[in-house]
Amino acid sequence: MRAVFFIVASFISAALYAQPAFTLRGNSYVQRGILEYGGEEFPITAYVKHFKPSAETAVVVETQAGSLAKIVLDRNGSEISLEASRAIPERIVHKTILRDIRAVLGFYGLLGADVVRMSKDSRGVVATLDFDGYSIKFSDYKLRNGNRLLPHTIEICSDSYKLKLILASLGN
Amino acid sequence: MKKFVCILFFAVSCAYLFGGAAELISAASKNTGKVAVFMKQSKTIELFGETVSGDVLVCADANGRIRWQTFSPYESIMICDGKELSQYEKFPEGWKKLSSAAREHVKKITAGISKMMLGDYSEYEVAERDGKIWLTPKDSLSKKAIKNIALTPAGDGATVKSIELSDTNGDRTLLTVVKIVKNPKNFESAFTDVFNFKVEEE
Repeated sequence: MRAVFFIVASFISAALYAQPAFTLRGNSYVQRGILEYGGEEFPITAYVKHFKPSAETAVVVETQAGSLAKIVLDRNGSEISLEASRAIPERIVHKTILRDIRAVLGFYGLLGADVVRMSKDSRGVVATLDFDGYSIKFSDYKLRNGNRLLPHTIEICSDSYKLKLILASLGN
Repeated sequence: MKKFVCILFFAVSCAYLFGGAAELISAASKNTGKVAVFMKQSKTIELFGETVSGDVLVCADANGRIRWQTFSPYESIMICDGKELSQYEKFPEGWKKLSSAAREHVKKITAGISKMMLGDYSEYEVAERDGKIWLTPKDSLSKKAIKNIALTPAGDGATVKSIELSDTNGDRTLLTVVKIVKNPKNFESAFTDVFNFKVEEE
């Protein structure tokens, strides 16, 4: 019995450590949270869809006023398409929403920073990411979607806005 | 926010305002004081071709007071008591009250909702076809966000069974009425008991 336990425990440990640091990549999910900008707070929702055959990722970010941006990234995080709303100019979407998505999904080579610092927790998943006065904290990891550790809380802090997102639901 | 409140309005008014239809349901609305409507909300995102579903509760009265509570896929509450607008989002550590720059704007819209709650749909073009009631916003601000709204009458001459809102960006939100509670016993609590309110039927 003890041997079986150790074998099972070994498999679980191996599965946990084998997973990539940015575990949200490859998942479809909905995040909900609060955007703090200009001293005001706004509810915000992010819908993320991972397309398995192509490994593309589509993201729709919206507030109660409607969609802010619709973005499609290829498997390497490069932009395939980007549609900005009337509320935010496209260049701002590049500097904010697109940057946030790339950082959350771990495409840090595309962030345009000379140095990106990343820390992992004891399980090998990303805990923090920061560069050029911009930081993300990944926390409240839970096992979801086939024993994958996913961060349920993400806090983004930049020089002009703060964003706190909770993992609301997971898709297929 | 505008779009949200428009959804809100049509959700709460679905029980009353429009009907075969439109006039019948409109008349019925004038005779009902307070209502709680439980609905399934399905948002179809054009970019994905997929639907995200959830559950909502809307409480409203003819004075323009509204409580919109989302139970899933996330939890949030918006309350407008006729004067103040409050929004709350649930995080793992508990509820957080938001401040929002859109409040004054929302208050104005809410005043418009009150008008509509009393049976005044003058801000919309109303048409009936394919067994549905089609509403198209007249003002340019609303037109930027909402393409149209399709109401499907329940067939009782007093209520609708679903509301489909089409955004100008191609996304659609379908609100399907699950249950309507007229004049809930504890209706006032919807605006005072933010986190523990549960609809009590008379």
